[in-house]
Amino acid sequence: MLKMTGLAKVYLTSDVKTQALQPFNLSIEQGEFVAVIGPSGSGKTTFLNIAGLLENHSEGVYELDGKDVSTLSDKHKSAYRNEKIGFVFQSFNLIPELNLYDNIDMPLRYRKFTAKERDERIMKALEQVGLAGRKNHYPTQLSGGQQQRVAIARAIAGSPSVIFADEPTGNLDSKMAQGIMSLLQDINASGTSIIMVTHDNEQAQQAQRIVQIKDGVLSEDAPILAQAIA
Amino acid sequence: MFSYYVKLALISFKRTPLLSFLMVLLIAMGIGATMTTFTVSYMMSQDPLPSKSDRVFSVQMDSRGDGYDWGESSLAEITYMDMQNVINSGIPKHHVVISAVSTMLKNPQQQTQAIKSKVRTTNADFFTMFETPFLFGSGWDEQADKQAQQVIVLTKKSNNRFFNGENSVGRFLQFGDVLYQVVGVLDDWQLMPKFYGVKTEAFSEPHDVFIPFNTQVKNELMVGNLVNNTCWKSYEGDDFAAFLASECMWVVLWVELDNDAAREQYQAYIDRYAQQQRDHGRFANRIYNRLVDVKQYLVDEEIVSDDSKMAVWLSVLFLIVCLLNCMGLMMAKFHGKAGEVGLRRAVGASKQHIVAQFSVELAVIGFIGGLVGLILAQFGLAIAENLYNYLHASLMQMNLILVLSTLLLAVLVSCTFGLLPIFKASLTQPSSQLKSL
Ligand SMILES: Nc1ncnc2c1ncn2[C@@H]1O[C@H](COP(=O)(O)OP(=O)(O)O)[C@@H](O)[C@H]1O
Ligand SMILES: [Mg+2]
Repeated sequence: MLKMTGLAKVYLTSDVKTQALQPFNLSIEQGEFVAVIGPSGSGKTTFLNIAGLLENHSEGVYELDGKDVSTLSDKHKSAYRNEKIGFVFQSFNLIPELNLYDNIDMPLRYRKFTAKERDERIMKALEQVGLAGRKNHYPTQLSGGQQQRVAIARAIAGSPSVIFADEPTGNLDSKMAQGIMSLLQDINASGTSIIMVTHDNEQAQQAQRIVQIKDGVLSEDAPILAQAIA
Repeated sequence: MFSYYVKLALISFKRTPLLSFLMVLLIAMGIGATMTTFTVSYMMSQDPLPSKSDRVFSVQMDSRGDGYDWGESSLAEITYMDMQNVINSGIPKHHVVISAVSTMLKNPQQQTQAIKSKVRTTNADFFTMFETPFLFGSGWDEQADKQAQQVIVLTKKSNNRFFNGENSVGRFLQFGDVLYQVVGVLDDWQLMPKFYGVKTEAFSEPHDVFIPFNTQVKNELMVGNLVNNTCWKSYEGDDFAAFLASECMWVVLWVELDNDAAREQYQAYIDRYAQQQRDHGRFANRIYNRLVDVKQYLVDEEIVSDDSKMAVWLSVLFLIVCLLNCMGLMMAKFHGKAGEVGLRRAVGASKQHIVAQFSVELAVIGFIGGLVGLILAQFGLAIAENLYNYLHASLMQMNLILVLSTLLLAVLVSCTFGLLPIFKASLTQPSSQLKSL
C-alpha cells in the first residue's frame, strides 16, 4: 500500500539546514497497525506528515497505492487525503464553532455525497465512537477523551484505507487513552491500516510493527510480543 | 456547497463579531457615499421622455447678423417672427412653443393676498406631446390658442394652494388684474430633467400654471428672467409690438417628428425658410438650422452638470480608501483562521475549496455591507434633499435598479479587494498550524 525508497527530508530555514529524516526504506501493507516511536524532536511528525501527503519529501521515492506521489497535483493530493486517509491529531483539532455533527461532516463536504449519505455516515461514525446521542453538542462541552473520539469519528466517516494518528493519546489520562487505543484496534480489525505515533512504549507494544526514529534515523523493531513467539 | 459556505460565513461572523462589524461598516460607508452621489447623478441623466426622446426636437436657427461667433453660445431660443413663420409647415406631428412670465395669482373668492407665481406660456400641443396626466379637466384646445382665450391649467400643487385641491375646472383665477378660467388641473407630473424650458430650472418643479402663448402675446405680458432673451440687435420703439417684431431670441420651439423622412423634410423646410430670409437680408451670420433631439439637447445645454459627476468620483475614491482598510481587516481575519484552513486542507479541501469558502464569506460581508450602505445612502439622500431643496425630490430617490446595483457593487468590490487576502489564505500549508485552532 505504501512504499518509501531512499526517502529523506531536509528543512531549509534561513540558512539553517535541518536533516529531519535521514534516507530510509519502508513499506507498509494494507491492514497493518504500525506504531512509530522515538524521543521528542526526532522526526516522527515529519514522517507522518510526509506519509499522509501533508508535506513533501526532499529526496527518494514515495509510492502510495503504486503511484509516485511526486507526480500528483495539489488537487489530487487533496482528493486522496479526503477519500483514502483519515487524520487524528494530538490536540484533536475540532472546530469549536461547529457541533459534533458538523465537525464530522467537514471532510464529507468535499466529496460528492448526497445529504442523505453524509447523514448516514456521520451517524454511523458517531455510533462507532459511542457519542451518537450528542451530535448537537459542541466540542467544548466534551471531555478530552470524548473530543478525541469525535476526531476519530471524523477520520473514519469517509471510510479511509489508512488512518494516521499523531500521538492521539498524548493529551489524555491513561484510562481515556486505553479507550482510544481499543477504538483504534477495532477500526484496524475491520481492515483499515493504522499508523500511529506514540511515545508510550506500552501502547506501541499493542501494534503489529514498531518503527523507531532517533535523530532522524529510522529503524524497525519487532514488538516484544512477536519476538516472544519467534 | 454554496449554502454550506454561507452557513460557514455566518458562523465566522459570530466568531469575530467586532472585526466583521468593522468590515461591514467600512464597506457600508464607502457604498453609502458612492450610491448617494451616484443616485443624484444617475437621476439627473435619466431620459425624460423615454417613449419619444428621439423624436422630439428643439428647433434652432441662427438668425443673427454678421460677425457673431459660430461656436459657443446656445441657440436654444429663436425669434418670435421665425417661430410664427415656420409653425404652419404642417410637417411635425406637434409644435410646442415655450415661454414664461411671472405674475400675481389669487383665487378671487377665497384669498385677499395674491401670490407671486411662475407662468408657463405654451400651446395646446404641450399637453398632448408631453402626454401630461390630468387630475381634472384637460388642456385647452387649438381654438383657445387661436382666439388667445384667457384659460389656465394648474399644477396639482397650485390647485391645492388656490382651490384647496377641489375640482376647480370652470372656476376663475385672478391673474394680475384679469380673470382666467380653469380648464384643467395636472396630476403629479415631472419630467426629469425638465428639459423644455431654461437650463437652470431643469431639476425644478413645473411652473405653477400654464396659459396659452398667444394669450401672453395678446395681453402683452413681457418675459422676465424665467426666459433666456438674447437681443443681439437693438430695436426701435418700446411697445410690445416692437418687441415682437425685434430680432430678440426668446421663444423655445419643440417639434415632434414621427420618422426620419419627416425629419429630413422639416430640415429642408427650415433651411429653405432661412435661405429666403437671407435673401431678404436676415440670417447674415450663416445658415445654421439644427433639429436637436432631447438627448443631444441635454448634452449641448450641459443640463447634466459635471459637478454631480465630480462628486461621484470623489466618493468612489472614498470607497476605495474604505476598501483598502477593509482589505487589512480581511488579512487579519483570514490570518486568524489559518488553523481552520490547515485543518480543512488536511482533511481534503483543495485550494479551490478554500478560495470558494472565503469568497462566499466576503460576498456575505459585502452583501450585509451593501444593505447597511443602502440605509446610509437613504440618509445621505435625505440630507442632500434638505441641502439642495431647489432640486426636485425625485432626484433623491433610488429605483429598484439602483438598489440592486448597490448590492451587486458591494459584493463585487468586497470580493475584488479580497482577492489578495483570499489568495494568501489559500496558500496555507495543510501541515502547518494544525496545533492551534
Ligand atoms: N517546518 C519545519 N521547519 C523547520 N524545521 C522543522 C519543521 N518541522 C520540524 N522541524 C524540525 O525537524 C525535527 C523533527 O521534528 P518533528 O518531526 O516535529 O519531531 P517529533 O514529532 O518527533 O517530535 C525537529 O528538529 C524540528 O525542529
Ligand atoms: Mg511530533
